[in-house]
Amino acid sequence: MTRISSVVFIFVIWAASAGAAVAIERFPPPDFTDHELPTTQVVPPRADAWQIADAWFLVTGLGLAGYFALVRRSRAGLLTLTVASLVWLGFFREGCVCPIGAIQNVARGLADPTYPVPYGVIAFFTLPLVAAIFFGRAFCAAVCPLGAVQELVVLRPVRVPRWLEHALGLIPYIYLGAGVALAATGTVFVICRYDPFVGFFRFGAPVGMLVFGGLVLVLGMFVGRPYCRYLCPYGAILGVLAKLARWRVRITPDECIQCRLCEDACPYGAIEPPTVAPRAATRPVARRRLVYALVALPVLVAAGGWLGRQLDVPLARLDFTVRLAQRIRAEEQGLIAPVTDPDAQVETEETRAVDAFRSSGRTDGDLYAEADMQVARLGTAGMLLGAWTGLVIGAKLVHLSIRRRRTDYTAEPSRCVACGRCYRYCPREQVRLGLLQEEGFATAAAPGDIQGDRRP
Amino acid sequence: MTPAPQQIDPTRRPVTAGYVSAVATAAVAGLFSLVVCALMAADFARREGADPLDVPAFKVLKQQLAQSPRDAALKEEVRQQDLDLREGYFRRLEFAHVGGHLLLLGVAVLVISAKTASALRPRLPMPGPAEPPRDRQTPLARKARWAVGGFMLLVAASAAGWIAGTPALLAEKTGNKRSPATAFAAPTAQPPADRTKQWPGFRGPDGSSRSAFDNAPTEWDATDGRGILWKTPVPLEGNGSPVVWANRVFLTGATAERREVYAFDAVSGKLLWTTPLRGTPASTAKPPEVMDDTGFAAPTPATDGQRMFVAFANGDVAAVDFDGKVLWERSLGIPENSYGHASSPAVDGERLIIQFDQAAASDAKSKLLALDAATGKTLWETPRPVPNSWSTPLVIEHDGRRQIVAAGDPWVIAYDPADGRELWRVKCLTGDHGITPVFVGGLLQVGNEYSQWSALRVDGQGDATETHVAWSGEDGLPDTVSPVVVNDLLLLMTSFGVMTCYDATAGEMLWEEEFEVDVSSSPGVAAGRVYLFSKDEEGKSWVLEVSREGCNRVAENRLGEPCVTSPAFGDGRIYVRGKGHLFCLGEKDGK
Amino acid sequence: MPDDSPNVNRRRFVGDGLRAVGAAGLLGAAGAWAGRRGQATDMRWQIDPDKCVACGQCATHCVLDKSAVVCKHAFVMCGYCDLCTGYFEPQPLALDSGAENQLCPTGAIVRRFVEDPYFEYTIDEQLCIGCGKCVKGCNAFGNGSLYLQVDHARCVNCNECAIARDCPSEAFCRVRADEPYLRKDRNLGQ
Repeated sequence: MTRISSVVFIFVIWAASAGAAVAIERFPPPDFTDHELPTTQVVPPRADAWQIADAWFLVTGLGLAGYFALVRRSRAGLLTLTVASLVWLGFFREGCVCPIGAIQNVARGLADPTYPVPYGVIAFFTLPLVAAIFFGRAFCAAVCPLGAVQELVVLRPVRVPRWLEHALGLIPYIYLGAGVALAATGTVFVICRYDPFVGFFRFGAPVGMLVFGGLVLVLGMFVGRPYCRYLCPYGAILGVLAKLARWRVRITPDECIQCRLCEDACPYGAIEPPTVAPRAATRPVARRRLVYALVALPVLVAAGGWLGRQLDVPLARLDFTVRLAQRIRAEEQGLIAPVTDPDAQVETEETRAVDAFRSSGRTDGDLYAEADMQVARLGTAGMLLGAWTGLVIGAKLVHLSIRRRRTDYTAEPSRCVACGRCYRYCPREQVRLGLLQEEGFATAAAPGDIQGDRRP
Repeated sequence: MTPAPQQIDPTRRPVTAGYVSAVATAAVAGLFSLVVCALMAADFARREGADPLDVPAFKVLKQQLAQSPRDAALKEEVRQQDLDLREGYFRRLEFAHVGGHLLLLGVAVLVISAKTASALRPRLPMPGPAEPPRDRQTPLARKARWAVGGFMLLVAASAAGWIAGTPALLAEKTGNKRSPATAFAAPTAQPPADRTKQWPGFRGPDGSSRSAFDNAPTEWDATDGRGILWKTPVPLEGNGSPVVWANRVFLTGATAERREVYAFDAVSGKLLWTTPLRGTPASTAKPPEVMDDTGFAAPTPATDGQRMFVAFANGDVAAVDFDGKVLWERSLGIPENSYGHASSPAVDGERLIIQFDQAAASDAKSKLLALDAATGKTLWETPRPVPNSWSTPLVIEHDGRRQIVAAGDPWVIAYDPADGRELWRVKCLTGDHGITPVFVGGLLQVGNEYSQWSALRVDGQGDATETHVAWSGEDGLPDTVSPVVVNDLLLLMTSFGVMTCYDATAGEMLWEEEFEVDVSSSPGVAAGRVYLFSKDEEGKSWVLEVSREGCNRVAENRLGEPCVTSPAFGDGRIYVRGKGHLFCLGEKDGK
Repeated sequence: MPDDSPNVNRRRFVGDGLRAVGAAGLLGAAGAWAGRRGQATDMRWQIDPDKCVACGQCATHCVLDKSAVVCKHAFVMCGYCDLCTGYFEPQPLALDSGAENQLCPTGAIVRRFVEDPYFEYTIDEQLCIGCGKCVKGCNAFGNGSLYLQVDHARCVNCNECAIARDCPSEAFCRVRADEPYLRKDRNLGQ
């Protein structure tokens, strides 16, 4: 994709004061009589106006997605918006900053007051959440470029067993916790590092990233939206908020006739069948089970916290400062040959880091103190991450111990990404659109008249 | 309501021409994408090196050219290869760029045609035959709980595996995976048992200036650098001696205005950090008056393995951690001291002992203080009936009784470390007292030039002058150099270079040896040998073997500059401070 | 099925109220935070030339095929040396522009005679791959007028810069988009 060519503006550096104070002046700059020094040209980045444009795109996109999904019930509209998002936020804006990555900027910004957080990032983080309170995962439906890629490649989705879905669905929450913990401590932006598609948007990335993206893409042909369902941390937050949504996806426009045609319509496993009351004899067992789950919850939180606390050393090994401190320390104790002559040994990232540290003038003590602080911070972060994981698992167990009552086939709002596929499966929708006669559908719904996923 | 469609025809829509062409397009696009992908992968695999010229064959060629610079043909070949490599590099970049776009195009066509095909022949919903309504939620929830439980075990197991498989952060803690929060910052904190192998204060772990190691070097020479592992300039002057803990050497330096603590890397001699001490308004208002021979940083630091305790001529005392962070700092008031305050602090567990003798005895300003090592707050203080002195307090233990021994004119007094209560006192000194006593073989050896030499037994009570002087001597009395005891021989050293040997137990004077140099440095002992450093401009220094019969000079060495401080001993090494440098003496191939 | 009983209506009303409160809370918190700590300008990655040690990782660690880092030249600091240690190999056979004498692996530095004994060195940024070899040479033996910068025409401004992540001297920093370059001669007055 072409990058908007920006106005080249030029810093003009005149040679007028060529003899002025220069820090390292081994060779005094010459005083030319009739030679003008060239100018150093620099190209400014894309203007801030683009940030505003992005925000507008986001707001408009969220609004349109909600409108198409819930008011117009139009898959065509959603698909058009999906392609538009893919082109704009994906290929044109090259994927950064997206709300998914913004989680980390926000976490880091909250933890470290000196970390700058532009308005654009805050807007990108907040607006989809607000939208989710009113109309569910509208952002996932057609605005998120990562979702868009996966939405478009769904070819022949298999149905993931629902019990497995419950377990795998926990990963995003844990990933969210890990992403926040590592970002808040300034260790690594792990969510960005494992972004599946940003390498495609930019036509270039480290090989590992491209391979990962390719795998997600291929998997996405057969398992609907694997990243969104089993990894995306932002989707996890949106899912929770979407449970509170005011307007939700309703498969049928008016009343459910229990035809079961939509049962397999959802490639993302979001459609829940109606429930049947269990035998009365099982009620006390269920109640006891709920009590056990409620008791287990704090236990799991505590155990998770304890286990997470032990993660300080493994996590610290991911941290640049700690690794550098380790290396310096090992050199100090004569365990590794010191980096004295860089030409004599093979340069590695580590030796370069040591070199750079030595020439920075910082003392070992400073580094050690910083490394210790980081280890301590990561200990705390690990503990919170463990407790969070325990909470997530415990809450899931509680959730699974509570019976829900559903009379109709419904799209579970926390999992439904409002792609609009199921609408066309519903005979009532066909009637609404005038494709089917009101009186005929109950008995004579000819299969050929039910339109499937027909838009490219 | 009953489930409606009972007999849905499972056939799909007929295959149309449009469908066939969509499938064909998809196949072609898929094949095309695969080919582009393979080409790009192959191209990627061909890349090597960080830059175009990072190719071994080309480097060899360039080396050949460097050896025979006049070979025109070779030069031409280098230039040609250089051009080829650079062109190839940019061609590959261009290819990757174009390939990426081709791939995008291919995949886009693939997706569109595949979707078109599937839309032309959609799979129709085919609900199975209607079943009697049954509770599907309960078994699902049960299965899901098991799945979540399994998932939890998986997460916990992988976390545990990760924890167990991660080696400790610090290489030396290989046995212990868990590292405390202060993993790096307290790197050299050793278990207390190791204290005897360190050099934690003035004249070593027990104040007798004896090394725990028997492999100290015996030869060094500044003229050719032999036996000198490193020497590092010390920024500010000071007459305090080095203190060694693990791999760090500590020193202090000061001028009238500035006071600094230094840590050196024991391995390389690199100055690791410098911590300036600011002092208090009271202690910095005007500099104390000192003699040049004493200077502003005469007290030697002391350490408990976690903290360095430093004292300066203006009465400032401070604790600094091993990374140079000031833990606490306080001023005891500028001492009224005719030569300059020189007594070093001593460590007894969590107590820091300061002998703060000043002014005349009649002024009643002298005192002994015990400070809390962690905070610097005074735990107790005891007034001392002596005038200003320059001797360092000695912490000893005899028959299970711990004592702090402090000497001044005229009393040698022992105190209880717990509360500063006086245990016993002996009147045996006269005049300015600068000698730090030594306690070896049950006898406390003390004396000075103006009085006599006395060997005291330390189990007294009250005034023990009449009862506890084991012997006394009149010969070779020192005025600044503290004594050493080696093989039951007491060695005294005068400022003008005469060494006098006594039988330490019996008090019999055995021999005298003249060195014809001025000496201010208190000697040290390692492996039965005596290490003597002098104020000589060349830094003459000797290694001596002493016996009842006399003194054998094993080696005469040159440090290269005068030395007035005491040597500190490590494993195979001696750290000693000269006039301007800190030296590390030792064998290069040794430890 | 629409149910308009008073109970349902009341529940819906309460729910709507809570949602409005939640949304207002979210937006309010974001706004308050933005007001206190946020900033209007976007942030960009840049290299602090005073920290950079020209280790060469910029050339290899960028997500882009051709790194976004290029060499810039602060001409006011340049000594215009004949023997430029940023231009020539450590032991050049001759002080000319022969390929065998050049340090730059892409031949991106142009050497031009100005007046005896001065030569001017300009960077062809199209060819520069940000390997920093010239910068290292210039810093070691020259005035240090060559330095590396992130070229914002190329940089895609990753949320987590892959070079910054591994920069050994932690020279990468976030700068405001309205002052996106850290010129090495920025402290020279002009």
